[in-house]
Amino acid sequence: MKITFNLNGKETTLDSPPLKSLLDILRKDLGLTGTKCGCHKGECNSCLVFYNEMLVNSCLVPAFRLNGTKVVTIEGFTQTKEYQTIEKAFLKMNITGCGFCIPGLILATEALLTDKPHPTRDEVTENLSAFLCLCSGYQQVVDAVLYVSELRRKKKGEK
Amino acid sequence: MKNNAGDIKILYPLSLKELGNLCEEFPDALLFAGGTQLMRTIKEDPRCLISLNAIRELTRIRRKENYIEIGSCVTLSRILSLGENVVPIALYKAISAAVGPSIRNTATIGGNICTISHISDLIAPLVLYDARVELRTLSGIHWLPLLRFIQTHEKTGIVAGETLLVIRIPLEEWDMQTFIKTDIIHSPKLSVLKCAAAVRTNKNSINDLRLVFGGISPIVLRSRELEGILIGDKLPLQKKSIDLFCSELTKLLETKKEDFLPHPYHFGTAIRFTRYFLSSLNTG
Repeated sequence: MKITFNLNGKETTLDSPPLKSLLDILRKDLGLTGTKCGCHKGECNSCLVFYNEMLVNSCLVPAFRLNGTKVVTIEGFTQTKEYQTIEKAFLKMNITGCGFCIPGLILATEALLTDKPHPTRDEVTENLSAFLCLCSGYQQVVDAVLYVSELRRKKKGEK
Repeated sequence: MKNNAGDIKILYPLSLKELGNLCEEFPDALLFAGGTQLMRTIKEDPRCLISLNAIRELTRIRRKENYIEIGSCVTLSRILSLGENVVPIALYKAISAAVGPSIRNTATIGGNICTISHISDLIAPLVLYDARVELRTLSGIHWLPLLRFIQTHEKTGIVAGETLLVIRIPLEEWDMQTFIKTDIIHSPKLSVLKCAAAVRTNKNSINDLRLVFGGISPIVLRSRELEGILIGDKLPLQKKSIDLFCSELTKLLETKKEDFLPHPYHFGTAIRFTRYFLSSLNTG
């Protein structure tokens, strides 16, 4: 079926089987490999994208639900100023590892801080508990999210 | 609205009436709501697919004085956004514990119920509150207690020609209500126990007590007989009353041991949860 949607700010049109996942469209058809494929079951969260400004697992979004929607992947998000503080915090906390889950973590961080600009440590832990990461370590990620929150608070001049 | 996509006919009804007509015209159509389960399990492309998420009646939430009605295609995140003051606490906790935010943005309450399997986290709290479901079948539309819906569909799941429309949850005053979920991911297969409990008192006596366990099979366990043991008992509960209740619960679980609580750890957890919940009634 013919699909037209806004991808990272650009109108994109393509032909796709209706039940093909957004993840496969991004990676295989459009070459946007920043969105990772871990499990294809919505469990690992490495395939997160923004879909109509909501965080979703792209492996569970079928092509037929894409028409007229707005999708932002990690490639698109890195062009935003919000990304800068998250990048700074992730680098400061040495969140590197293999990097496989990082794109998803970055988008999840943004979604959390949009919803709750100043989360508690417990809220961050709970929010990111669905992530599977084998090498960067969970505590650093929690520290980084709290650090982003702090950076943004300072930037806004809040106490 | 219709869209022929290759060999798959995709239909986007906007109302229940349209859905009804389409279901009659295409009785074998695959109904697609959030897709979090279907996208994982679908093996072959269907000939016809009906997308449910634009149907007004299935995507609205109506709050009345005594109950809240949630359309089957309302997403879990939308339910959570109503807040703890609106959503009954055990259900709120169950949704929060069920999955991460990204899945909550697409998964629907109806989808969670219609899986009718151990992975459904919402069945136990919904049964706790005596939720009812509105079901469209070939013979028309009717209401059914969720527990009966589960029992009648346990073996078959939702069948062709049936649509889950609305979930109605009574809004009642409870003195204490809670939910916990425990997973054991290293057992041969994922083993999950859900415990939901609620109590109402009147003049310092137990007026209503409910206790529901969700596990592997049967999908959910609730015994009105067991719940009735403590009705009328004064608070604080005597230790011997709690012991008696837990002893009866143990006997009940023993009879279900073959099917229910497949991991031995869950057996003890169910008893400990119950003892803790009843003891906490004394301390508030």
